[in-house]
Amino acid sequence: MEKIHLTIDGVQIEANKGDTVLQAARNAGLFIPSLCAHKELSPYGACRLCVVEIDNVRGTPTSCTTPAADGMVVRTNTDQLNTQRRRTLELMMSGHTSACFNCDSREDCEAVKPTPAKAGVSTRCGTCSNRSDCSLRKVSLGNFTRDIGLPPIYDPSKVEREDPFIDRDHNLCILCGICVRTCEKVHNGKGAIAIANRGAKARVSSAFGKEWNFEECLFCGACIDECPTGCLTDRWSRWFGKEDGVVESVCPLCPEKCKINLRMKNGRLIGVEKTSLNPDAQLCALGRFGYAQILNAQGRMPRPYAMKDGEMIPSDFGEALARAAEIFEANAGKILIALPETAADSAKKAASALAKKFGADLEFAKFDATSLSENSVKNIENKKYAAAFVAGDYITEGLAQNIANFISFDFFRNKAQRSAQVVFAGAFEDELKTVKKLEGQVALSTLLEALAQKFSLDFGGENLPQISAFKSAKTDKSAVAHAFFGHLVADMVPDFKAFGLPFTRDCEDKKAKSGYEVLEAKTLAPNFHSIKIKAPDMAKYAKPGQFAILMANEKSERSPFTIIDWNEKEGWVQFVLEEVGRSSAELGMLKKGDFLAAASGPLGTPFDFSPFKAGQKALLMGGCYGIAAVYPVARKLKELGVKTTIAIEASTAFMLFFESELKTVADEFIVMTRDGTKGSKGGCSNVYEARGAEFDAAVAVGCVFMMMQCSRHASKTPISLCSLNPIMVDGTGMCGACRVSLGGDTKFACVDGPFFDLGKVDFNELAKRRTAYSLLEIDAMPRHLHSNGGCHK
Amino acid sequence: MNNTQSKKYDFSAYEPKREYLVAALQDVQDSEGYISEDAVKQLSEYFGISRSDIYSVVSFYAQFKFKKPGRHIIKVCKGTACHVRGSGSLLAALEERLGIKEGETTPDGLVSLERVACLGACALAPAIVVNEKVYGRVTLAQLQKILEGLK
Repeated sequence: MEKIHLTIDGVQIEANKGDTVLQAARNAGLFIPSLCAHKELSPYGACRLCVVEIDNVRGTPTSCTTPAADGMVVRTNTDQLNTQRRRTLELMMSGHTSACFNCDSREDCEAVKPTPAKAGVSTRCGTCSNRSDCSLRKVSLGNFTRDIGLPPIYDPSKVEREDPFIDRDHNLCILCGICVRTCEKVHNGKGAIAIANRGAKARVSSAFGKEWNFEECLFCGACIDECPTGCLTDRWSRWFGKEDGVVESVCPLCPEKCKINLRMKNGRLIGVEKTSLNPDAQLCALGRFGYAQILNAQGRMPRPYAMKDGEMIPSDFGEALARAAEIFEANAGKILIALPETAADSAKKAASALAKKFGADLEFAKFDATSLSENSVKNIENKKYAAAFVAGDYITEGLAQNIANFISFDFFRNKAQRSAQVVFAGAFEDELKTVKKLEGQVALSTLLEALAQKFSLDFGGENLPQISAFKSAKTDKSAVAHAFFGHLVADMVPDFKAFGLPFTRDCEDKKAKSGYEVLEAKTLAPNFHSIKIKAPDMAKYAKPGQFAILMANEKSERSPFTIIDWNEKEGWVQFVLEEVGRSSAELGMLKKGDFLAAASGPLGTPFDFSPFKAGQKALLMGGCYGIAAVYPVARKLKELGVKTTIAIEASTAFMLFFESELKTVADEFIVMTRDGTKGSKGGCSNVYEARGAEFDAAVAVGCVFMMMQCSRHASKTPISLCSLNPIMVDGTGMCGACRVSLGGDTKFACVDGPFFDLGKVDFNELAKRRTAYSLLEIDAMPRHLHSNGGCHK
Repeated sequence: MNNTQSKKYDFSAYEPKREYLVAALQDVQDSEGYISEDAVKQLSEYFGISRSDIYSVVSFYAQFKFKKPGRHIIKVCKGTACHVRGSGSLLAALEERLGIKEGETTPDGLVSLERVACLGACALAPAIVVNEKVYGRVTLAQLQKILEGLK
């Protein structure tokens, strides 16, 4: 290849003729910031960050679209270029939820919250599932010194969650075009998405802005894998964060056997990715989205079982294997062996050898079958077999009863196992090498090889069966395999119902049919909802500072929420909910006329107003849900003649709410935003620090970080309080989940609190205890279409 | 949008190459008045370009419409001269009398109302164009007559 020589930032480098300036720089190990350049995609020139100055070239060309030439003198790092990049990023940020970039407390906050907080929608890096892997964030943190001058524009209608598998939030899109170009490349020039409209209305879209499931999109997921921001995400896996390792493997779900990359985290499979952007390497929806969900689906068998005296008893592999061997030996000539044709080669070979040795009938079930062949079914009905080994959910419970010695192998529980003599708990072949499998689980190949070896069979030379004809689901999403090991795919991965795949498990209608009626429901800000419910008893006894435990449906988690407002005469109580995980999302989705399954309250010790006298001054500080939670306390203080100063904080202007309500109970009202887009820049702690000495008392309600910041100034006021929000279960002091530490004392937030001495709380412990169940909380997230109540059409 | 009657388009005047897409789209718009989903589907098959890609092109240009326009098209000029001479109240009057907003079509399919940046007839401000005919120095009384003449 012909070589050329150029100078970049004073460094002489050699490059291949035909390289762009950006490629030449990168190959030489020099850094030029860029967002839209992608090593497997052609140059595009959209993000304008890779601008450079070149001697004798006018203006600032983009290095990604400028061919390198011999003798070129390039500068990448001048003041003018960096200013230009900052302004370009600033424009990008005006269409992206950028509050965290501008926040003075970002580093402190992220030290307390090392992983992004789950949220209904992303409103900043702190609630963005892509935070750990975001190219925009990396480039921005390198270029910005918290001086973004344009406020972010947020549009709730840009959140699209009506498609299977893919969540899209165009509020995070920077129009780099990587998804569009990836789609085009992966699908041989015929992409399912393109940038529609222009100017401020430009948006990545399918034809006529329809749901992606409508026609052209094949759900290969390539766009998600390449999206440099949190705009396109895999709904199921997004909150697991970035993988800690990638392992090459082969997809076991259909005979096509595509090469895949397993995304691993802490020994767990959290997703599957294609191996490259070549069209041949593309995956179908089942491989891309289904595999990890199937492997992690509920109902996995943890250990083998064996029948003893008419009862299924947990067993171990050695014992179960010995029982299986006995059954094979005792029933030679009257045995059926059945396993799917997609099983591992060594499993199929060992099965063939076993079938020969014991004169057994051998069936390799079609890869997407849910039952055995007609012939085998007839034979079972005619009680031809005294024993059978079936790998997968292929026979019904009734059919299994016709086999005296039934051996089952399955990953999941199935009904036929009830009449089995031995049940093996299946491990996926991939779980042998990468995923932490449970001690009692065994891969089908390991099991059959061990069985064959027990009889000293040499199975290496056995022939492999012919695989049934199949249609590739890479180009036709209706061709996705309907079943795996006899289990319907759509039963394990409900989003496949949207593809028209058959299913037997209909989605549960979880909506409560009776209970506490919702009188009013509205969204106050992204992720923040207000509901008024009919609860006359609660309204009668509620006092400022108390809370109630709410459950949207019978299976929701019990979560505590501050009582914001109530009316004894009309019998209603109002709450403000922050959408974080599953249970709060279920509450947030309630509409007028719906019911809450349970609401127990008022709970907790009411706010103690006894130390307050008319004419005193109180500072009330609220952040996030605390914005509303300070309202009832402020109202009562004002009634008592206390001068109230209310300071509220939000990450950015569009996250503020409840301002008009608060103004009615505030003598002074202060708005703080972390990015300075409304009021003053900073948080409530800045107000406390600057003016704390003016007040007789201060109350802080908000996230752990906000209260922790405020606690540093607790000594400024004679009284300083905070309202704590630990995990709570019963709310009556029995379970101890809400234990908090105050200067060596142990208290229970549900009965002793929620208000405690701000200066004494151990906030680090509180932060840790609050995240104790974060992985389980992710597992419980609503991650399928219509997962709350409404069933799929 | 429903495509109860699907029309078969003939694009054979063009080679199936990307560079002829806009010309073919213009033909469709000339004959139908708008670009339907069905037309995009047929264009996609003929040119071998994905529908999303064609949608991207169509939505980029202001000249293309996605909705069937009315039998008569009224364009109200909102250029500087017309604006100063009161085209705002002309547009408001039209919106009120037709019961639609600019960019919309009356439910009976009679009239579409559009707003344009400049007709180049500044001397006649305020100007409107009904179908191909330009009306200058339009008054509200005149507007009423023009509307009454549309069938």
